[in-house]
Amino acid sequence: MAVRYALFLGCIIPNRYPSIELATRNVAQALGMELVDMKGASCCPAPGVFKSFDKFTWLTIAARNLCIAEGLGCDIVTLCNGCYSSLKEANIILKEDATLQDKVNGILRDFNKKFYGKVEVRHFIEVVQREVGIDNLRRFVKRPLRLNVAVHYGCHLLKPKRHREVKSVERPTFLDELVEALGAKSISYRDKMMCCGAGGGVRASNPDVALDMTKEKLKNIKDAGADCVISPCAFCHLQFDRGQVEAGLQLNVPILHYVQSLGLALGLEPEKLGLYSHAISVEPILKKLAY
Amino acid sequence: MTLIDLMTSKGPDLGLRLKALKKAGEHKPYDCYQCARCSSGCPSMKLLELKPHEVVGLVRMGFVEEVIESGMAWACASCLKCKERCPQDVAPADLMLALRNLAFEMGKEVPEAYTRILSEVMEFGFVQRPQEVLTKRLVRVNRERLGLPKMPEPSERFKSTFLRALEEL
Ligand code: SF4
Ligand code: SF4
Repeated sequence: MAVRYALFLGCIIPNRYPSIELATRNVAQALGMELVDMKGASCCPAPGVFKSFDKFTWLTIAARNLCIAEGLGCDIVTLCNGCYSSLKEANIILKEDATLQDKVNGILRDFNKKFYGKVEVRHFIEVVQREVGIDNLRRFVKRPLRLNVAVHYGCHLLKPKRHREVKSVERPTFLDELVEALGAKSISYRDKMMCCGAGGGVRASNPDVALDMTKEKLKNIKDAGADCVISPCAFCHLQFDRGQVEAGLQLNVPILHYVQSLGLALGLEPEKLGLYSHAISVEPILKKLAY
Repeated sequence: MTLIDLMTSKGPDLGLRLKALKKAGEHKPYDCYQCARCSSGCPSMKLLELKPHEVVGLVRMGFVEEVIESGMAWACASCLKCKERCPQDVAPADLMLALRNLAFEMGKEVPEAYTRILSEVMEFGFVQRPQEVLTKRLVRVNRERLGLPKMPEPSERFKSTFLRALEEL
């Protein structure tokens, strides 16, 4: 597979969950995918906080990140729904609105950058679908993931629908299929499409409100008898993993980022996927998988 | 956060209403017919005190300052469920952002986390700096230990770009 993507890390992955970064680099290598580092990239910026403050500031900083990928000549891949939605939306707005593009370029010019609109922003999940494909993915699996999994999409992988390829926001199936392709069983649970609670800046500003949502979701997942949650978003991952500690929940539901579950199925060692640095121990699932 | 008592509030402010509607884009809240589908999927328990369709209704009537002062807009997790469910394309989620923008603009009380994160990003380029994790096996895990490249230092250029964008406010 001769594919090349600019790896957009954002804040949470490199700073709070380097385990996800490690897994990403090793999984990409195993799949023969080249990831180019985006030197000088910043926070995406955090859509919940920045859009609450001012749209133009948000747009300018996002544009600056997009320019870095344009300079590298490749599309962006992200592993966080927040970064995905922020960069993707900014890219679309800038491509569609010439006046805003000029205004942003007026600022970027002073720093030797210019937005051209030459790259696309993709989520890691989309990249797996496009570059590997679900049938091919089954062939890559060396150690089937025999687990009962609660799949969590995360809001911004699906919404706003207008800017997404998949049009079902209440009953999507593609992520369940990608998880089942690894040998797992995606179980159904109450209020599956509910938010993790972290978005909109609520995790930082109103932790009780955020944790209320997290608690409800995780309880439903526990009640359904899931071995773990698999999510494609680093921010949801953080909220579910750290959130269980912060809310003092005794649920002990392990959380895996999709890239980590993919790594396990590819037969990579748990150490290569950073699986030992989660707040909620993943040992029970490793045990079930006979590690 | 306080809830709104319309009996004691100042009354509708039409100028402020126009501002809020404009920020929310294309004056969409006028199309709301109060069906409450938006509120039917809202996960934010806090927003049960003043549900998304009620926020839309109050803004439409001009009680903008009252809604802002209720602080309820800050309880929205931007999950966009209301936006997708609304049959009229009103997007309460976008209105919540518009109200937050207005709160900043009007110098109203804003949760401290927002200003803290904004200045963190301005200084360092990122929301957080690299943190170590202490695992259950009492091993300290950090980027170096995982064999990952060092995180880049904050760039002066980034900060200047940020400051220039702020000048447009
Ligand atoms: S769903 Fe739309 S039309 Fe119905 S109450 Fe909410 S905003 Fe109004
Ligand atoms: S976007 Fe906000 S208001 Fe709308 S459903 Fe989600 S939490 Fe509720």
